[in-house]
Amino acid sequence: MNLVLKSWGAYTRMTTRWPALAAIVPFIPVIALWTAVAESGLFPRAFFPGPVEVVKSFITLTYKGILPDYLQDSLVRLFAGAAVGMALGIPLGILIGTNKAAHRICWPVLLFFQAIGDIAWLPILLIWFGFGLTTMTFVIVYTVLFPVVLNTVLGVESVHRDLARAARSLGASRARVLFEVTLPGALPNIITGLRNGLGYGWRALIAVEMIVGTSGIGFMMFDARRAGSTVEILLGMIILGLLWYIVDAWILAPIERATGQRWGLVTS
Amino acid sequence: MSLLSAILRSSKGRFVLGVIAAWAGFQVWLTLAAPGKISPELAGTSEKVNVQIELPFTPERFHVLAFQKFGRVSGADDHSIELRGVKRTDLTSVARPYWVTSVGPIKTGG
Repeated sequence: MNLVLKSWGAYTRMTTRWPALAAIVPFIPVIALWTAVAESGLFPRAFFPGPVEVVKSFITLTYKGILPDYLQDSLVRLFAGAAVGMALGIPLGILIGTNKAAHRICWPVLLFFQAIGDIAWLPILLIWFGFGLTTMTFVIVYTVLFPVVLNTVLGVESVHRDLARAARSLGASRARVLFEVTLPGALPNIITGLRNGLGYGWRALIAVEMIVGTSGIGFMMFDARRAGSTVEILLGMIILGLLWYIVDAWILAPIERATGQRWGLVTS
Repeated sequence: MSLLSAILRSSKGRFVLGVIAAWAGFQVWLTLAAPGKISPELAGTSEKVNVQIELPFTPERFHVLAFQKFGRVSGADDHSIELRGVKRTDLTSVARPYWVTSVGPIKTGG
């Protein structure tokens, strides 16, 4: 018992000093279990490769230029789709949140289309735009749009009306109230929407790349099934998880902390 | 300004910025190194040229598809791809990837 407590204390001290360790340590048992199952010979190596094979595949695909190119394609598609989704979603969310008539008109339409999943659009998009970038971009924008709009509306509606009234009584124009009261107040929700939207967009992108893509991580994984290369499929899965962790925990979460939390709008 | 200083204070922020800087530096290096990979034998005045692209490995479908943007792939062997009808202005783009060793004229009778 004493040893367990000492180990826990050492772990806590270490992770306080090097916070990155806290993210790595939980994966150690997962990798150990994976290695043990792969090494046990329970499954043929071709069906269940170990971590070493995946690392080797990472090196080979990087050496051949395939992985960086596909990764770049996927990231560019995601960020282009997210940028368009934000550019459409934030103003639309603000309009719906601040204007009752817009809310009455748009809200039922929003809920209707939200229920039609991104992948459900694929058959008709393939007829309209074919197997190409337009189809992929449409799906990502569509996926990112709803979380951003809905969270922006929630954020705008959660800003206390007295704050806007107080600003107006002090002579602030409508634009100033929007930029100095409503938007900062709604920002934590907007960023939450963006985080969710990017997450859903990332998943949708992989699915779309599998179906219509000629490049990208999703394409790489789906193409690997042709050659029966489970190692490339596993590598793709690991890259997806790792990349999302880096984007969310290292980029989006600090932005949220640097804005919403810093302004006292989110307490933890 | 305060956001930038917050990023610079955070170790994760510095790491992400470092990765972005390394990537940008690598891209600049690829651009600068590309003309050096093009053989002087390709010098001329014709608008288009046929080239043989040398790779350090056996080309795969990905590499063939990547070069189809610049011309017509007419063949591939153990370590090279034959590309015909490449615009001279596209030669540096063909030579730019880090996995391209050299770009020269098509070797006949090999």
